[in-house]
Amino acid sequence: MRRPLIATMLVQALPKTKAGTYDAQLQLTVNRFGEPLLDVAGKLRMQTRTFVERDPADPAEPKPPKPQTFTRVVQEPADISGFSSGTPQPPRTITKVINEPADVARGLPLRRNPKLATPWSDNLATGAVDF
Amino acid sequence: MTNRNDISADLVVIECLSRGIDLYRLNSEEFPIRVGLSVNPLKPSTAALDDQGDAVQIGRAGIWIWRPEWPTIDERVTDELDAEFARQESVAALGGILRTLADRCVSPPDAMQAARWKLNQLVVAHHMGMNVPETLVTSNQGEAKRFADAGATVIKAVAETRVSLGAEERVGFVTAAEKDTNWADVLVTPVVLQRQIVKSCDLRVTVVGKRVFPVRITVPGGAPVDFRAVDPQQCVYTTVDLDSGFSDACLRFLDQFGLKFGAFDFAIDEMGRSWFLECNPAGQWGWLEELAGVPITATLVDLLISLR
Repeated sequence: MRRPLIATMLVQALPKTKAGTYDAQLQLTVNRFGEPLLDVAGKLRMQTRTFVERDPADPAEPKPPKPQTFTRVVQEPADISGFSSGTPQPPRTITKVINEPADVARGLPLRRNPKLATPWSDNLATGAVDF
Repeated sequence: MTNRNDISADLVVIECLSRGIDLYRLNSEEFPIRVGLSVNPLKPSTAALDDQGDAVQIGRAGIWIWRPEWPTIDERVTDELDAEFARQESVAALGGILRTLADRCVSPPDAMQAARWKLNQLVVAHHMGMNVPETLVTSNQGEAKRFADAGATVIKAVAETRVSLGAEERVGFVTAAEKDTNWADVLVTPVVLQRQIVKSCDLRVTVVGKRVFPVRITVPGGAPVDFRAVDPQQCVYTTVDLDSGFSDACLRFLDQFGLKFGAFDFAIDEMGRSWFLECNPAGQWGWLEELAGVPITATLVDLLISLR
């Protein structure tokens, strides 16, 4: 079987996993507590009251991401940035949030989660538009 | 205009919301099944989206196009050709609107289309005075072998080291040629062969409007050729200053294509010379913002609102 030269160097990308769900009202992906996944600096904490007051307990939401998704990031080094294929690890304060689900604001990460820096994806994509 | 799953778009949304900026996120896969449009092409400022009854005036907005996905056609359209026809018409309509609003786009769609051709990027970079590694694009086995025999060589895709079909996707990186590389494989399809630069570090230069954010990326010893193959946490990121000539060349490069955003990758050799590798008109920046502290999102939003 003949193959293109570069095709012989490609590796199978692991199935994409997605952390959180898309909140059409916020226009963002949020975690199970309704917190924007990337608002690590808490920019929206004060501005978006509707977000702070959201009911954090949503049984339809997926379970918290599992650590094994980081293995996936390593295996798919193309995935330098973006959560579409790498799931940010929950912040350390997540335990507190679970214990006090009604207190979403207090449960927000108090410092930047360094893990959020690693799972950016699609750094190889040119973003060329077909439109 | 992006897609639901894009996290970079989330950064921009968060920045806009935190500043109280009115923002509408069009996830193009929701068009036209959930979001419609209307425009008089001779009056593009009247262009509007219809989000389930809510009118969204986009004709006077700043527009950022970032990795849109294909329109989704109502699944009740069961005839495949009907569905394909609906899809191509939807693309033409949305793409047409974007072109009537090109001057409101951070990077207009035609500019992004033009910039996708990496071989032409090399020519433009050369014209801008940038160093470009010796390059050969070939499907000739003998030419490929001769090039590789003449010096250390890396193998690159002409477009992207990524391919997907259905749910299956394969990805890769720039790779160094080996002695046992089977050059007969280039007969199947051409590749880009480039003289390998002995790097002291990489340089990612992200340009937003007229602002330039250079970040030096130092990979650990023994790392692969392509820094993108290295765990970002293992790299060292340092903001650096560029001389005005260097920055100006990057800006003129983008001007040549009509882009206002671009992520340049340069290799820095042991003599400190920079070598142009490529410019991605939709290059990621989130990890640089985290690890190097460069305020790219805020600058992008500044640019976006300036286009209103």
